[in-house]
Amino acid sequence: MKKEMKYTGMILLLFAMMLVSSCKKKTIEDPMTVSSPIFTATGNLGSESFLLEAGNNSVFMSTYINVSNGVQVYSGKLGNDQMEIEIGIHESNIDLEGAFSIQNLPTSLDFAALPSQPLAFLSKDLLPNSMFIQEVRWFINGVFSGVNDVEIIEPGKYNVCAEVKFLDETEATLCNDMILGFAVNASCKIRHILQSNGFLKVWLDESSTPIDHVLWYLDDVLVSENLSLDTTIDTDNHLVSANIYYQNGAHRKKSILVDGSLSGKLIDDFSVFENGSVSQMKWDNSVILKVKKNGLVYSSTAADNTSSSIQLLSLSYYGKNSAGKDVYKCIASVIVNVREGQSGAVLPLNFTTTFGLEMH
Amino acid sequence: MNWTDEELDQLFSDAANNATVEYNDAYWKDIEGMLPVRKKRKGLLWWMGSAGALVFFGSLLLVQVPFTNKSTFANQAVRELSNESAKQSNERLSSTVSVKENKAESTAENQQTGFNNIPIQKTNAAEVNNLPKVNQSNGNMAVKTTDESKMKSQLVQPNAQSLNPIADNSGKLIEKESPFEVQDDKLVTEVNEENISTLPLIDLYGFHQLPELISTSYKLKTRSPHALYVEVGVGMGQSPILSSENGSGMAKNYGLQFGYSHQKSKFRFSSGLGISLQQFNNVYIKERSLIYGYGVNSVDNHYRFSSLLRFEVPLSISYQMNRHILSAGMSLSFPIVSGVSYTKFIDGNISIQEKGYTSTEFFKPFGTEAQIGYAYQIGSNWEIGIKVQMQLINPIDSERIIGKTNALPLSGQMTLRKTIVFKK
Repeated sequence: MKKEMKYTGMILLLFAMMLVSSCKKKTIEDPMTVSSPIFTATGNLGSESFLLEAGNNSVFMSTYINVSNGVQVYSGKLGNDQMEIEIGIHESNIDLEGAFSIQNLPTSLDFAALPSQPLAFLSKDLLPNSMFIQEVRWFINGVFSGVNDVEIIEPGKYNVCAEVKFLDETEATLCNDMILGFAVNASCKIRHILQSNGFLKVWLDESSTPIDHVLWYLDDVLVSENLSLDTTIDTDNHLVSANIYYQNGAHRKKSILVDGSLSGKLIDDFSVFENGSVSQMKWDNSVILKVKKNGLVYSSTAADNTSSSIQLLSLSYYGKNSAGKDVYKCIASVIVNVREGQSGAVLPLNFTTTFGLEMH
Repeated sequence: MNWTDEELDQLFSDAANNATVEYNDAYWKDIEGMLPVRKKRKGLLWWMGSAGALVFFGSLLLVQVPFTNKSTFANQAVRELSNESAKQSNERLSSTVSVKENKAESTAENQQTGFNNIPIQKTNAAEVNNLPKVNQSNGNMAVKTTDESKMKSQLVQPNAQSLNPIADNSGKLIEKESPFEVQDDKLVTEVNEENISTLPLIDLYGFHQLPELISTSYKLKTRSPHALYVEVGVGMGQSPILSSENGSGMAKNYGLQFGYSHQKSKFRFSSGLGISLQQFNNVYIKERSLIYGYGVNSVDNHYRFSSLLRFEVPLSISYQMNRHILSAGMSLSFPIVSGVSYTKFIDGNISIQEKGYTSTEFFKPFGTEAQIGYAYQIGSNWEIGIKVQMQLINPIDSERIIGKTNALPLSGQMTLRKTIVFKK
């Protein structure tokens, strides 16, 4: 019987080992659900209908943030080699850091349209000490744009530099930021008095909204955090800058060039020119739309879209794109006119779309 | 007249105790000329080859292959007696004659051959190699011998034909006649000498060189009908999937069973537990999905089931004819675990590749197999055989597995069975 018990134990042990080894199991996934294209656009361009589905017919949805004239445009492009639709939404409240919120987008967005008149006119003659100036060379965003008189047509946030040549052939340069065609949430003028003893007083005037605090820099050195700057300078030219923080969150930087010799070779704050465009159009949250088809490019900004709009039916977070940026999926109904650049032909475009836009 | 085991045992015991035969060298010379050549034992390889041939020629399943290896039993000259002849033999055995020789005459001969002038009983020459060893005690010794299983050792009784009881595999005793007979102190034979080659006794067995004989007592016992068994099997069969698009339609089978068997006359009933492992390479789940997003990605999930381990409850009935065993039975099986390898492709490129075990959700939770088999008893407790099994329930239980399923997959196995008989 001992022998039988030995065999029995051996076999039972074998069974037990088999059962134990079978405990750690891999799970087989459920059948994958049949998915359908997510990003689509279907409608008519002129008399031709179209259907774009990302994933089919080599159609791809790409998302990115475009920077146009210093302003971020939350953009996406859906299409293939034959047809492509690009939609971009301008950021808003560009002088408020982090003010843009996807939740604050209105359900009805206007199309951006080019203004019929320049948004800003930069002229030597408008400078208060123009009688001491021989010539002004204007540079916009680092690009030479003209001498003495320059017009800025498109909305944007520009860095404008004036390279001033005085009558005595001396030169000085001053740069300031200008916001044109977008809402400005705070504005003010920077003024100064220089006495013969070298005492300099600089302050902010005509502020549109309460100032929280100011950082004063003299020749790029922080010298004061008071609302005004009181200091003494020598007879050279000195750059005075103010980083202004408004209570509403707006942040602006304004600079002036002070002539310590009191010979009139100063450059005043020319950003005041932006105040003249305040009452004009705003591109905040405006939409630009481009269509490429059969090698032709159609644009919404070149056509009359005063009665056109884009209706946002929904807007939700989708995921990250290949660059790791957040992408939002918007479902929209679009009715717009687009103008072809070369022929000037205007075509009606209407479509419904599920579109991706990179936003942050 | 039917003899009971106890009667036979007593008969042999009495005969052995009363019989004293003094050594006579003349006997050995006579015997020497009649010894059969000991055939070379071919061993297990012969059996494996035979079984393989049987598998190859499946039609031989129902054919009884005659056993031709004479070397299995030393006593090839033994033939079964009819009941009548057995009765006669027993009567002769009961009147055993003791043959004595002059001790002085035999001394010289014994010293020459190494024997110490011992009156002994001579054994059947054909069984010399199985002669029980004789314990040396007091110079005189009587060999008392019975065999509970094969009874290879048999005593040759001068003037009497020895009865040679042998137990068959079912435990039943059969009576066999010794080919030797002593008449008037001379050995005569009934053996057909055509089947016997002769060799000198001393060259073949060295009997004369044996320094001593050892006496061993055997008791006749019937074989217990109760036994445990262990059976291992290996074979080939059909895969659960017929199509060979993704691999071979064949599968390898391995089995291990353990259970209890009960012998009833020539029938044997077996039941137990077992595990079986089936290995195949054409059982696949292949699924593809297009994942749309900014574009589209094709995602392919490939699951290849490589094996299926099952728990089995076998039931069988066997019919035994001498050493040939035919069996039929059923088996319930329950899948335990299946081996699987998983490969995930994204746009055609391997993303994940791993192996492991998974549940048996894609297979039927239970199965039923019918089987028939043939086995040959190669030893008192060993059987080698083949069996053919058929799954009666389609083992595949998921439409996710691609290919046409094999509703009734067949398989065959070579088996080796070890029986552990309960002691009475």
